[in-house]
Amino acid sequence: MAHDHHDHDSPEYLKKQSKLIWIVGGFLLICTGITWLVAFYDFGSRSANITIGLLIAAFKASLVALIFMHLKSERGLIYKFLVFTVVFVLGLFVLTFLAWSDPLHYHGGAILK
Amino acid sequence: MEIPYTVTARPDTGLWNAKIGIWLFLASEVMLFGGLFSAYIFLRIDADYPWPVQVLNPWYGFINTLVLIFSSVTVLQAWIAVKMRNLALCRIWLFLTIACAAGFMGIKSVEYYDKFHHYGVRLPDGSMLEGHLPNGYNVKFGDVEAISLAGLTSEEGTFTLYGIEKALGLEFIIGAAGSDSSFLNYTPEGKVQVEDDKGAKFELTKSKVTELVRTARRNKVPSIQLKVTSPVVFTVPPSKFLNYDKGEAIFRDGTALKGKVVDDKMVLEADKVDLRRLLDGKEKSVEHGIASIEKADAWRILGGDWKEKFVEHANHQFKRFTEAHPKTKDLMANSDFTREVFVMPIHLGEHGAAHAEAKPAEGSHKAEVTAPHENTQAGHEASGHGHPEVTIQKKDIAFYSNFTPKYNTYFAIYFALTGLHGLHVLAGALVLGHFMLFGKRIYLKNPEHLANRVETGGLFWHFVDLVWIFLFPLLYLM
Repeated sequence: MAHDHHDHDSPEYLKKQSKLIWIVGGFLLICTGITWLVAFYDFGSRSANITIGLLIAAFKASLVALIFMHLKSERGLIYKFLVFTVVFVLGLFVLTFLAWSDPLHYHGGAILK
Repeated sequence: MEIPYTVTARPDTGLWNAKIGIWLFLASEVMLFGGLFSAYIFLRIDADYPWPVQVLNPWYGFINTLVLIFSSVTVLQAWIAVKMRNLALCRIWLFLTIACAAGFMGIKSVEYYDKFHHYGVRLPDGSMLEGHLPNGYNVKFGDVEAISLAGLTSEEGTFTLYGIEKALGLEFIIGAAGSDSSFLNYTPEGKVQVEDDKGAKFELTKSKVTELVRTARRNKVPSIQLKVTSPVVFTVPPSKFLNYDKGEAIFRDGTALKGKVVDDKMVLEADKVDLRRLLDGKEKSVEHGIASIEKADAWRILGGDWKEKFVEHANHQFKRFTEAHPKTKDLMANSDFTREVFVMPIHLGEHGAAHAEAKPAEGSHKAEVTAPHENTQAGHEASGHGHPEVTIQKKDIAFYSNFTPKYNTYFAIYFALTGLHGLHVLAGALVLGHFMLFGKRIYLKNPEHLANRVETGGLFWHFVDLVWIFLFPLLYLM
């Protein structure tokens, strides 16, 4: 997964990196423009627009994580941390959805309305 | 003491320590923001009011996104510069990064300022008017005959520092119980001529209030009654009152005035009317929906001309929407449809010749409104002109607030998320600024050490960028 440490310090590698960063940065700026355009284009429903908007955001975020944060060539230990993080974050989202099976939330709300 | 593995990798992990540290920290940050994003979803799905969509000026968010992405590039260039052993260049890139952070925060503060000075007013039937308060909103409480200073703070309905102290049995620590002198800020001269129950006449100033209240507390006197000898008018923002009615007004510190409400109305430069809350949710027919808003309280305030414009706007939007979305079935259940049809921006001059004819049903209409502007909404927001100035009586205000967390759950989560994110921008700029200014010492000792530090700071900075990449569409565009 990781390259030899010395490769990462050679001027040629760093110059290549610098160029890559500019290209990815420019691409991210273009993606931001696309985010803007699709937000005002109608895909038929609000949920369709939200899904498309979030997919673009997720794509941009993965570019930042993989290239800017060097995750595509990181050591295994970091991935192990991140697996736990993802599990806990998904847990946080699941907690929200548990509210929909909560009788107090659902029926209480229905009675009040 | 030498800290190990700041430069070289630890053999067992294959990483230098700070990298493990920053990734563990970022992992906890992901969970922190993850929880807030989860809260956003919950609040949005469960909102019992029309969720605000595209109510923020998207340009601010858009420019800030570009600024942050650019700063992510510059912080990486700074790291590469140290790797290439060019400290001066590294400092330039770091400076650019921090300049971007400052730009981001500058734009953010303009946005916050706009929100703090923009108000929404809910009328009794649910009609919402939005706009600016050119003179603020003050209650005029006049003909004041008597002032009652509290020796002890009234605990009823107030949440005071004194209340907390008392609950803990520590009320002796501060002497802030009872009336403070801030009520005098709302008189024209900051003082009042009074007479006490023994017939002594004197001028009630701030220091006099403090003295009287201290004495009263020492003697365990609950309140001091003072007769006002020269009538005075208090001009007070309603939030400063705990309670007020026709005969009495009580400040939050327990100070009570006897007199009467002389004037209690709000002057609003209305820029939007939102009638979605008038629809009961069961209405299936758009025509009925549009007909039902004709009786809205909003027209009592704005005047009948705006009602006609609204109906015209609603019918126009209805036609436009059905042409653009011929397949949409239940229009009244479609949030985009109701937003476009039942919400209308208000500015004078928008409807050509009809402009400036809208007269409010009651209250004064200031002269400046008769000179309507032809410019766009953006121009109005800055100047506040070009919108009809309407007067809303107290009885018509069911709720009012500026666009702060108390306005609704959208603004609550907006400020929570962007505020926390803003703090991260600030913290990141401080750390990178430290490397820019004081990195030389480490660089001279071992340049690779500074490279690792800049990389660590950069990882945090990219995370801040990454969060914003989601915040921008979620809060501004969807």
